[in-house]
Amino acid sequence: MMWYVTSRKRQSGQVLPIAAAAFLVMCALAGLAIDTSRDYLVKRDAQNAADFAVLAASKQMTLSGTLNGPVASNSNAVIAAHDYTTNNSFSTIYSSGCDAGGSSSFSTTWFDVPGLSCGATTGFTNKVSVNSPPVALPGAPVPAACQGSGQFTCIQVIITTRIAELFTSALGINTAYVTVGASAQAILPGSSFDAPPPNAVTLYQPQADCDKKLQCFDETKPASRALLSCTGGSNNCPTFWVRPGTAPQIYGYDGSVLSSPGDYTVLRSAGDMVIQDNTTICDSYGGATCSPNRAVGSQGFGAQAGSKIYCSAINGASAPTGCTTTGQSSLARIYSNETSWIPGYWYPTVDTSQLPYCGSLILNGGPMYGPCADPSEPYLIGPGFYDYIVINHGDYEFGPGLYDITGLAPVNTATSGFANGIDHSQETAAGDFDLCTGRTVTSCPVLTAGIWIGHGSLAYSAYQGPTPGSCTNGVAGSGGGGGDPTVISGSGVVFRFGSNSGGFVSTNEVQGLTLAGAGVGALASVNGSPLLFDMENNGFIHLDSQAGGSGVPPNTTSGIIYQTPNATGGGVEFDPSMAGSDVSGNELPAVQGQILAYTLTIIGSSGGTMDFTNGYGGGSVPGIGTSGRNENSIITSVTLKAGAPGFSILTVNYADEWMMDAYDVYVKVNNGSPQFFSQGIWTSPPGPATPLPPPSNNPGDAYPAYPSGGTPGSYTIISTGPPQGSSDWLYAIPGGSGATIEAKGAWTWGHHNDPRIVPPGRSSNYTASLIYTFPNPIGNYLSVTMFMLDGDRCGDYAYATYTFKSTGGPGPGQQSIGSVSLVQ
Amino acid sequence: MRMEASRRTRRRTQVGQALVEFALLTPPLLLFVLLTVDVGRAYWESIDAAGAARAGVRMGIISDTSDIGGAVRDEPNSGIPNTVAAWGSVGPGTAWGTCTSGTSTCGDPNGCASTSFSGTQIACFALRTCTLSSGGDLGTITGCGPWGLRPLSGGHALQLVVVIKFPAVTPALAAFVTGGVLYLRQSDTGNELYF
Repeated sequence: MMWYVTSRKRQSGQVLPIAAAAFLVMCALAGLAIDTSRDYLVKRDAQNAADFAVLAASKQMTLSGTLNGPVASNSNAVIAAHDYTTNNSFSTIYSSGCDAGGSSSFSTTWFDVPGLSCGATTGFTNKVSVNSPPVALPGAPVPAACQGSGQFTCIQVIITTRIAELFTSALGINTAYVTVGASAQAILPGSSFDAPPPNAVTLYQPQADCDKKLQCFDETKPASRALLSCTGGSNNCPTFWVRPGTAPQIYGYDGSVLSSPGDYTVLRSAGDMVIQDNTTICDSYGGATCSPNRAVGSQGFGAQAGSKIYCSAINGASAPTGCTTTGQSSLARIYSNETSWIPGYWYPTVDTSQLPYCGSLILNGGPMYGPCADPSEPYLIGPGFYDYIVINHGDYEFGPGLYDITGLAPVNTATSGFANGIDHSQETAAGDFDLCTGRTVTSCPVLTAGIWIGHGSLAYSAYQGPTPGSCTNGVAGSGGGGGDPTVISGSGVVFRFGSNSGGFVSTNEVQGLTLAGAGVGALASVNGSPLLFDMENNGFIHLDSQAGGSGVPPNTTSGIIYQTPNATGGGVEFDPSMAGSDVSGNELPAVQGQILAYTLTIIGSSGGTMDFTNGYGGGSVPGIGTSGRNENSIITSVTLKAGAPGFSILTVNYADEWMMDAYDVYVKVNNGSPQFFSQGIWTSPPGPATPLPPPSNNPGDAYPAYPSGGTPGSYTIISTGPPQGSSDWLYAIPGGSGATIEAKGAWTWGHHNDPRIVPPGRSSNYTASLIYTFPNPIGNYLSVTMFMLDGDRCGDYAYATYTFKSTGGPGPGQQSIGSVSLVQ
Repeated sequence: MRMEASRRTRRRTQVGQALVEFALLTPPLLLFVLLTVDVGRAYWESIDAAGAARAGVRMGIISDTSDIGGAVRDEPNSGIPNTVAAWGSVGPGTAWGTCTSGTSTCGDPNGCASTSFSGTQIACFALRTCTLSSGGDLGTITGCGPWGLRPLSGGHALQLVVVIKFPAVTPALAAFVTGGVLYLRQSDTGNELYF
């Protein structure tokens, strides 16, 4: 009984102490939660501050013009890192007292209180450190982009801040430290992409120890070559060989427009040169004008010491080597100034890991087939791994991307029906130097390559015209293709030939060959390089075609034509006449870009230039939804040049079977709002959130319109041809500070010009130009995007971005905008 | 017998004691829990605001025509919807909410003061151009222009604030703030990266 009473007494007021204890525990947990939330918020703020500080610092690195070493003490990059942590509430006392490092690294630390040792981990509220290159942090390794050769392109800011705890201090935890870090990578203007030094031609084949090499030039015998071989028989290949009748003009890049100016030798040859027709090698440094048979610029060509130059004369004041005239026939002049030879090599970075396997292709005018075929575009060849590609007939387009060729194409063995390999039967001795002369469908059974584009005589599938589609609701038609004539185009393409493959051949019977390599910075798999060919073997790249007609798309290639410096044979050969001429009769360039190869041979006939004066240009192909299809091959060339003082002029030339549609043409600067050429006829300015161009104002199939004097709008009509003819209209962009868009050539309003829709329409080849003139002070950095459409019914389009720094000089393309980005 | 009576009386007085104690303790406990939730929510909203400010500045420093407003509103997608109801006069499609030009007002021209909030609006952003002590990219902020204008060219700092209106749920928290509403303010400053 006593126990009962005692127990009752114990229970009296029992809830209150339990609740009080629980309350204390809850208070502690709530305090911990609040303090933790607060810590997280401060950490978030610190991370923001580190991000903006490191971005500001990397901008200063970009502006410094060099990324060859760690940032320097008290450099703008270091100061910016300090200032932007301070501006974001993590202030410290700027000092160089903790600066450390040398040629391989730099680091510094600032505190918000004076007198602390550089390695102090307590005793401050804010501590900011800068590292160049970045260092690993707990749980955050050095970003891949900041390792190896990229280490000095990166900078790192680390913030450590002390947080006075509110509640957990009752538990003895008075403060907490949070540490955050951010790294950013800077990219220099003008060198932001992977490319070789801007020599137009670099040739590796040396003359020394010729007898010990598989392929070289025997100076006791005449230059000769057959069946894409430099060995056996009478084959004898100079390092640089200008064949009779070719009269080449090789124009180099104007290095004065680079952010670090440099006068680069146009042609570098490690071995003998045999000049059998007048050859112009022009150094356009400083904006010098190149023209045939004129020696311009001091850095024309250089040949390795010990090499001979077989020529009749060198038309220049400085010719240390002089001509050798014994042993070779039909020698001619070099119009160029000789300079010393400087060796140089470059290796592209190509990543094929994401490519699909596409099998092999033998196309005779039929639709594309295999795993990389696109049912909606039956004549579009998709990128990927291929064993080989043979095109004997047909109109095909290579889609943008990387093509990795691993094997060799078979030669045809069929005597009727469709060819089952390369059909050499149409190749001729007169037109196809170095190719097959057998003239039968089974001739030259071992003459092969990784990609062979020719024109055979066996059967072909009929040409299929474009399928117009409904042109509404985004339902696209498809491009036509196939048929007999071989017409090949591709924009943003890179062809890689592996060590077990061969080269690339386009024969003189090909009617159309327009290949543009990847735009600057456009294709990650080639590290942003403007590459077109990457030949990792001893094969030949043989570029030829029929000459393009006046006003039709020129037969030309643009981009880097590269053969590995590890090669011991092979090379490049091209026909200068293949490009044809423009409507004014001016010969167009056959090769735009650079050549790096074991040898170079100029074949065929005289004609256009090998032109590197314009650099590479730059193009990218983002996806965009219209009822047409992306057809970047309609862009034939791009130039950028200085205009009136303070202005630049970007010209995009266009050619297609349909006219250009000027209505939806637009220009964007720095990814801003588009400026439409058609703005001049919009009846009312659209609101901020309404789509552009205003749908109600968009002429199309249902509302065709033609350029004429009666068309409403605020344009300066420089000239107007007959409806659907040649016109030249100029539109001044409102508020554009003098910027204008000019549409010139064969263009019209509204993508309606299909003859099946609006008879008579147009179905021939037409050319036009878009000319964007804009204020661009020297030193200004700009990214200009142009969007343009052709004139067929569904509005096929092209979309290209050009980035550059205004140098005030005439050089386009090569310049690429500097940039900074956070890296992880 | 007396003992039995006494025991009975004590038992009567103990009946309901736990209930009374529980009733007494529950309100402060509940209040405390709600207060904790309230404060937690406030921090969560603050972190959202910090993320939005960061996104806005990062967009703003890319170029002088990139849309800051869209970047700010898109960021706190878990907490603040990208609607005019939530963002008011700086919401999507509004004149102040579309920030692609340095010549027109962008963001709230009053710096997202409490008076800037109206109706159902719960979030606001504002930006301004600040000059630095170097006169160019470097230095500490020496002064800022009026709210509502982004820089027309490089060589400036862009300061952006995001304010979230946070009505307190518990009387405890409401007692600490005027009108029972907290204005959670987060700001970031960035150097324009375009040239």
